[in-house]
Parts: sequence; structure tokens; C-alpha cells
Amino acid sequence: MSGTLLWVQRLLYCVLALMAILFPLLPLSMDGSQVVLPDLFFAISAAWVVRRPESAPFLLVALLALLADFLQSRPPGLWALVTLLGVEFLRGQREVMLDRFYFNEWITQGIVFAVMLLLNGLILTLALVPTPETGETWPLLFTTIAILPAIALVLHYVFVIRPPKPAERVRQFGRLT
Amino acid sequence: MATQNPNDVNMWRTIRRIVFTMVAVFMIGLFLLWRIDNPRVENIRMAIVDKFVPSFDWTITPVTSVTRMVDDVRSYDELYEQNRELRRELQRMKGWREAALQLEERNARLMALNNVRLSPRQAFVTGEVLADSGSPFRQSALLNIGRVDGVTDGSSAVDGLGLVGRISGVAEQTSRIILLTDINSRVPSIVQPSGQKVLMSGDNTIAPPLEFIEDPENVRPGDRVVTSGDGGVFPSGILVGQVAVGPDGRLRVRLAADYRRLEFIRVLLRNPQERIEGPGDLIGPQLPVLSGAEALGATTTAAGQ
Repeated sequence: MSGTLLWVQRLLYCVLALMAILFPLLPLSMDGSQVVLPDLFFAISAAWVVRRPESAPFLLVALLALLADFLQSRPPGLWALVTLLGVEFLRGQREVMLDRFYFNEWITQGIVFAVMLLLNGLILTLALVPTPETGETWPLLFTTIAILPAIALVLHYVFVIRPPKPAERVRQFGRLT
Repeated sequence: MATQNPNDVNMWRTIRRIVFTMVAVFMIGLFLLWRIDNPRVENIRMAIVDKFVPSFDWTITPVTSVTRMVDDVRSYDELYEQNRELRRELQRMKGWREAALQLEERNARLMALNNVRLSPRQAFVTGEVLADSGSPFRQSALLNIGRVDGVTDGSSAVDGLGLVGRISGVAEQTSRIILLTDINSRVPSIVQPSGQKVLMSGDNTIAPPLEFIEDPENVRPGDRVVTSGDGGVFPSGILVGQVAVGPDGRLRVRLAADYRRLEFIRVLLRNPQERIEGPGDLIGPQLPVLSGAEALGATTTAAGQ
């Protein structure tokens, strides 16, 4: 892959991630009964690192996740760390996921997100931070899982973020046993 | 790319691992710092928001205005019905206006009789909502006015109709409002006809429940809820909303502020009231103060002479 393409993809990742972070900030409805938006930043990052891990380096992911924490008035650092761990785990699993159907990838990402929510809630409870009731995080899990295939489709067809062909993969990363 | 030294690859992997650990430790540290020294980290957060959000105003504004336009177009459907409704309401309001004018006149006369001094009027600045919290679990909004406009932490925010929330976090040009629906929001208030003191605490729903009601028998749906001014955060007498009974049987407040359309928000500037410190002194002619050392000095000089 040429260097320019790599930088274009990195830029694209930054722009999409920023949009994902800023979108929930739009003051559209401010009553308590609003729809729970999915965690778009995680969805984009999770789909991206499976397809083009080299254009979403973990430092970039960490920086953007931290920014999201600060802007979206969450306890700074915690959700960023949890997101980073989840995304890095997915990055490690990409070879396994890509060789199977998309369904496999989807399930893995969903489980990772559920574990992330659990970890986040656990640490918040341990640190005695007042948290919303656990029942309220279910919609977040469901909407995020629901949005994952849509994100994957958009990345694949609109932004042409596709996994490299198997032959190319072998050349780039060596044969994985 | 094809000729990569395995040693090189290994070294990069180690460096990557070290950097990753450092980043993780940094994030944990940040979280712990936030937990321990919350105000300082919140200041950092406000500084970041202050730098970041206004510069992205141009991305936020078009989307916001488009959705508001769509909302407006949708409301054209009910234009005819709305018009008739408004006409009817206007008729009723004319009657009320007449009554209010008469009452005002009468009130002024009575005040003059009693020589009452009211507290100085509240000054306010009006700001526009820039962004909301971005999370379904935090109910807050970002305003485009800040310290330069005289906003201070704890100022209360109202829209045209009622209380919206209070300021929590001020930067140079932006400030954050904790809305009444946030789980951290507590408003000491009074239920109006019965005069009972209650605490309204947010729980992430549009209608916050009332807590610590002395005598729930005396509180009826439809009663007005106003701030009591206890605790010194909110000034007293600001309309909050009306009592309503929730589906779960709890007494809740239907907020007077129009939360669906928070666009412009007034922030009441705090002019702290003068406090009365300690009891009054003895009234009488000033006595000369004679301290012990002076008295001692006087006796020794007398002895020396």
C-alpha cells in the first residue's frame, strides 16, 4: 500500500471519528426521554481496525477516545481506556474474524462491547461514582450492536475501507499460524 | 516493506507495548485524578470544551438549524388547528390581563401604604445553547456565554417560562448547565398553596420526582412548585413547574421550562446578598480602650517618677 493512501485513510478515520464524537453533542432534544444513541466512535473504530488496522494506530484511537470523554462529559480517562482495550483486542483478533463470515465479526464486537460496559460499570461502582441504574445501559448496548453492520457496510461500499486480499495479507504480515 | 528484519519487527513490537502501557497508565491516572481532585480536572475539561466546541460551531449550526426547520415544517400541518386554539387562548388571556393590571395597581397601592422594599431586580445575560451533553445519562447543555459575560459557577438558568438548571463549570466563553433532569440535580423548592418545603431531584426523566415531602396529603397535582432559596444556590420564587402524579404513583414535577426547545437561556447573575455577621454591639458612648500592657506601662512610669 502506498504512503499517500495510508495518510488519506488516517485522515478519513480522524474526520469520521470526530463526526461520531460531535454528532451526539447536537442540541436536538434535551428532554430526559430522548433516544439512546449508539456509541458511534466505538462502532467506527471497531469496524476500522478489523479492516485497515495500519490506518488507525492505537495512539490516534486513544487520543480521540480521550477527546470524546472530555467533550461528552464522561469521567475522563475511564471510557477511553475501556474503548482502547476493546479496540486493541479486536485488532488482535482480526485474522480470525476476517477468515469467517461477517456474522462472526459482529458477534465478537458485540460481546467485546458488552464486556466493556460491564468493566466500565464495575470500575465506576468501585470508585463510588454515582452511576445511572444498570437497566439504562441496555439500550446503549443494543443500539450499538444494531449499528455495527450498518457502519461496516458504509465503510466497505462508501469509503472503500476493505480488508486486504488474503494473498496481500500474507505478504504484509507474514503467514500467521 | 518486503525486506523487514525480524529483529526490527520485534523491537517495534516491544516499543509499541511499552507505549501502550504508558497510555493506559496515563488514562487510569487521569481517571483517579478526576475522582480525587474533581474541580481541577473539570476546569481542564471546560478549557478543552472552550477551545474545541466553538471552533466547531460551523459544523453544529447547520445541522441544528435544518432539524429545527424540519420541526417547524411539521408543525405547519397543525397550523389551522393551532390558530383556532391560540385565538381561544387569547380571548381567555385578555380577561386575565385585565385582572392582572387591576391587581398590579392594587398591589402598588398597598406596597406604598406599607413602604415595602423589594429585593433589587435580578440582572441576567442571555445565551444560546451550543451543544448538549452528548450522553443519554447526563443531562446538561453548553452555552455560548462564559466568564467574560459575568457568569459564575452556581448561577441559575431560566428560559422564558421557568427554571432550567444551574451553571456548573465556567470557561472564558462557554459554560455548562446541569439541567434539572440530571441525576445530580437537587432543587430545594416550595409547593405553593400549602407552602411545604420539598426537594426536587432529577432522575434522567423529563419529570423529576419530589422528595422529602412532609405531608403528601397536602400536595395535590396541579400545585405550583417554586424555588425556596434554601441553600443559597437558587434565588427564591422562581417557577419550577407543576406537581403531577407519575405512572408509578410518585409525585413528580412537570417542568415549566420548555425542554423540547431550549434555544435561548437566561442566566441570572448572582449578586450575593449582604449577610448579617454576628449580633449588634453595645450602644452607648465610646469607652476608651485600656489594654493590660498600657496599664502596666502607666504604673511603671508613675513609679519611676
